[in-house]
Amino acid sequence: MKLSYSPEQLALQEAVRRFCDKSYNFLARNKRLASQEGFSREHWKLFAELGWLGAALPEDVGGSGGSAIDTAIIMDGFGRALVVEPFVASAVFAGQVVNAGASDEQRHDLLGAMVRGESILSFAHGEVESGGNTEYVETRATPADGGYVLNGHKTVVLGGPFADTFVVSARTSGEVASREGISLFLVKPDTPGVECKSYRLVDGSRAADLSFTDVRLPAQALLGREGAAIDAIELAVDHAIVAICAEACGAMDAALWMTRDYLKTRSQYGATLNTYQALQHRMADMLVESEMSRSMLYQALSALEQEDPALRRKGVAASKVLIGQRGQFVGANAIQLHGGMGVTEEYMIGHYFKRLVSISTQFGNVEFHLDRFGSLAA
Amino acid sequence: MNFDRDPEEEVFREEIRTFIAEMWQKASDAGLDRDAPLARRSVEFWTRALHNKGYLVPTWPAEWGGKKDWSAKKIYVLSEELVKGGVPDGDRIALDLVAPVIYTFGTPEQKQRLLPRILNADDFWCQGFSEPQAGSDLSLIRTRAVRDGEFYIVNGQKLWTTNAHNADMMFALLRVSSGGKLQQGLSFLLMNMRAPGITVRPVISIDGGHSVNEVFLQDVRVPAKNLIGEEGKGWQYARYLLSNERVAVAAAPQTRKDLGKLKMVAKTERSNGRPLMDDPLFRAKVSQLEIDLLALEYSVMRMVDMMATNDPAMERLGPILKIRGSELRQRVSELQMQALGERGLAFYSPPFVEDLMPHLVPPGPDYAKGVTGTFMFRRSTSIAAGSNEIQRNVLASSGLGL
Repeated sequence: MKLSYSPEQLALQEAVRRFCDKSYNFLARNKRLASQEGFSREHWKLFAELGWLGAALPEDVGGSGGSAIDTAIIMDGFGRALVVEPFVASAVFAGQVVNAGASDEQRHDLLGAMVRGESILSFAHGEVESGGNTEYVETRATPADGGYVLNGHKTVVLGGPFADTFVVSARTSGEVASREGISLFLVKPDTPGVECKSYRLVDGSRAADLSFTDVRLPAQALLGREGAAIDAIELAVDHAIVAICAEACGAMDAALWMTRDYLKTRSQYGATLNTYQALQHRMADMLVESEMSRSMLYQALSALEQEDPALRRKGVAASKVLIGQRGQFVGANAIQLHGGMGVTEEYMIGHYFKRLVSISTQFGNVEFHLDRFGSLAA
Repeated sequence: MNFDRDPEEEVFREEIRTFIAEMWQKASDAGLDRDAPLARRSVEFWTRALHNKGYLVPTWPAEWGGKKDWSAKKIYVLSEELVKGGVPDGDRIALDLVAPVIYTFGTPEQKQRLLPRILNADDFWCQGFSEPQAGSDLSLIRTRAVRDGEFYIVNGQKLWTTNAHNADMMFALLRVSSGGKLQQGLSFLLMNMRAPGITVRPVISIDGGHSVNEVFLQDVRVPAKNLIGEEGKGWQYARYLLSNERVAVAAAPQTRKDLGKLKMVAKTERSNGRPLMDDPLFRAKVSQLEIDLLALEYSVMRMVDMMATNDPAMERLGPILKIRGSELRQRVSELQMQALGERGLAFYSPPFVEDLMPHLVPPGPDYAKGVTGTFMFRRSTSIAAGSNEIQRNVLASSGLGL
């Protein structure tokens, strides 16, 4: 184990920083968010050219053969600049579930196109009543005419509005919330019976609800083995959680130093705010929680490499709890220390809070993961 | 960064465990009481055993038994296993606080004279920094050292001196001149606790125990060769020392061990007709504590990594370890006390009750002994070694540049 970055990792960090500094101006970002499209295809192409979309995917599908550490380095940088492109949705969440759950041929086709930037994938898994529980799948696929008929509903499908291909989890057998009997299917958005309702989340990103009404799928739409997708889904969820935890660390760090700079310039009662101890101590607490979060990210990256899935999930749950809590703490205090400026839409600091609150809520909230942590034996 | 499993780590853990088991056997053969880890004989036994094995001071320079090629993880693994194995803590004040000052700023003569005695547990040390008027603000130190030929004559009073009643030596910050900035004019001096003119008086702490003292110094003659570095530059050496202290006060392995006991107690104790651990609210509190501890443990590993490469970011991480480490020491003992329920209120003070009023020892399981007393004493963890508010000041000024 080594905690400092290797030269290659430092180079990746620097490349991400260069992109964000040069191409991710906050005002331009907000303009893109308000546009019809909602993100930049040009940026997406660039991510593909730079190899970021396949950073943590194996070389046989066109990836760089890196790991979640590379994803974390990218996401840390994205968190600082509040990048909204569907990187986690496509390259991490969908990418990992396909990589772990599909056959080799399917992996090569789907991930090859995704890594080259030709296809945006989105993994439709969460449902209205699942509450973060990975096994909770009501959507059903019933065998018919040598294929399947899909019925059900998915909610807050990240990157859904941008995707040309959905990976959909559906039950081919078993009770709701049973680990057995969950399968993965490929679904094109224009298939008859698929309805996609797009919307904007509070952090400016786009998501969708998907409804499936008697959607006819050919047998080849099945990814991997029927009924055996749960391990791949859990792995993908864990990768996605660690990715957004890294993003939160970047966002916290950026919000912290932005607030520091503000305190040194804003003057009230004849002195700049940085001279008031009440505000100094609030900032010190933000620094404590931001550093604890970064340590926790390292713990989660280490947990991702555990062979025992229970240990992996436990470590990831711990990270989701702590970073979820402390991200919201740092974000809220950054607003507090900015005073009225903090609650304006125009100023960047509130947007860090929006993203940190979203991270705290996605893929199972703090309470869900606190309970999961306690339920998994050490 | 990588988290590749080090195949040597498991081998190393096994090596440590085997060593500890062997030594416990030898300790028991020598008639040492496992339940009296603070007894001098016990500390001597373990300090010598660890030093012979090369486990005592991995972070020291190689010439004094340090292990330059040991990774951050390896050093952490060692400290973790020693705590897990119940190995009595050595004299941390000597090993972690004064020794680094001696090997960094001391003369060759001081190193030769003092370090071997620390490594052999011949000398126990205490720290003479705080005074009645100088708590967090050490610049207010008044105890004076006046040069008289080959000696300093010391007059004044130290307070909150941990272990002064057992110590052979004291390192102290003393005023040699006034005027100018108050931090200047302090010297870092080493004193023999047996010297005439030194009186130690116990201060009984909130748990009813005796670990801290008042030390009165009246015309104490200290040889000038016991001055560390230059006269008047004591502040600089003390700052260096305090930066080392912050790593030790994170106490992550100790809290990990306390957490193990907490879980055991919570699985054993019953509340409302079921094991306390099955109460979702209590379990959530235990989980939250363990999650915070995980973050602290990885922070410690980052810190040790940074120290190895002299990364300037460690200046910022030091106070953070102190703040969170001391908070978790408190929280784990608070939950232990809560786990005992109302009965916990009876288990506040074993030395006081058992020695003086044996008929008032409450009935109950062994694990309850002293739990609430420990909880009381742990209020001091956020005060000692630079209060957590002072740590926040340091974070604000040097960590954040506010």
